[in-house]
Amino acid sequence: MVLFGYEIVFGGEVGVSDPSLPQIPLHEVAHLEGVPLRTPWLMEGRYPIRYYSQTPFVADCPPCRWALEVRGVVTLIWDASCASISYLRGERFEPSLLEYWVCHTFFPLVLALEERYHILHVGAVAVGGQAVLFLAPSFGGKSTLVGEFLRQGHALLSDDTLAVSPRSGGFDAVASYPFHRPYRKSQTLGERVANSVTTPLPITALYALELTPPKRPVTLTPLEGIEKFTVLAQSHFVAFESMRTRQFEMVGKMAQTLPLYRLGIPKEMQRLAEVYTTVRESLAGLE
Amino acid sequence: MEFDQVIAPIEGVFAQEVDGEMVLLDSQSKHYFGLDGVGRSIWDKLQTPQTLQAIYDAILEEYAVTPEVLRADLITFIQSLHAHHLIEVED
Repeated sequence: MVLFGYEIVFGGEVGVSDPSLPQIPLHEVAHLEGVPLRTPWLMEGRYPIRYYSQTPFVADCPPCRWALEVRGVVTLIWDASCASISYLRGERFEPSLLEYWVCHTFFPLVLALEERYHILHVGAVAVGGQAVLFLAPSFGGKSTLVGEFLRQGHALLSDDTLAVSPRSGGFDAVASYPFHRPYRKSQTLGERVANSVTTPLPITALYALELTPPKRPVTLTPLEGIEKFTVLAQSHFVAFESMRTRQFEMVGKMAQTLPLYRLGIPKEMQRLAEVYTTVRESLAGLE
Repeated sequence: MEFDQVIAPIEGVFAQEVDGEMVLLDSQSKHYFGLDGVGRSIWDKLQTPQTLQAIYDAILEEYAVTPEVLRADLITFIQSLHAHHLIEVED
């Protein structure tokens, strides 16, 4: 599977999609070794997780070897010395769960900690060769709005996490994985999407979604200043303390460079086309 | 707090300007703070270490505010910046 511009081959997949992409080996191990530090159990949504590492997580120097354990399911280990992922089965292990936790959580964490990209918790689609991002907390409507854009013929970049990279004069969006999950069945990536983006696209605009009562009009409000910064800052996928300074600088640059709107969306599925039109019209105004 | 004390930003405080407003990062707590209007103006003046009296005089000249209100608000504001590890106060 291609995710964030890398290729990871999961069990059941034959060959590689694109041999030109950097490969991340994935292999099973029988024991967890080399990561003596351990956190208490934390909650990732409804799932208990904990981290292991070889050395403490500090800014600008992530551990060479660290792991994420999902209680009872799988422990995923990153080894930076050979850029590989290994895994240890839990008692409830299934191949689909391995795929889910690598794509949805573990590999985005790797990319963020390795400082290869900034990872945002956003939905994103392609419009006119550029990336449009939708910001909202979980259950805030990102996947639903992404689904509407897919129905209208646009390509998918992200349903949940997106990699962002600075470029001259702006930022590029790098697609995560080609799956869309509009109805939240747990620990699944959703349905594979054929029309998905495979190359970085420049980001043109961001929309912070706000669900409103069904009869309200669709509203669009440009955000500025501290409010704009705060909304962007809340869209980071992970907020380890060691990353805060770098994230602060990144968010500041995004706030200075990219337009961000608050998009009021009436909570009525039949009006999604109206929301779509509002976004398209606002994008046309940016050209 | 005495008005002859010199106020200066703590080295390493991260600041970003967005649409004329200033966002600061507390390097210890990793919390964000936003400054607009008069707060932003005070922060700009603090980029050159100076006494609280000098800041007071400049703000009084720049804004339509009574001396008593400004004195109280300025002390509260500076104390808040200090409490959040954004400035240091020198005797």
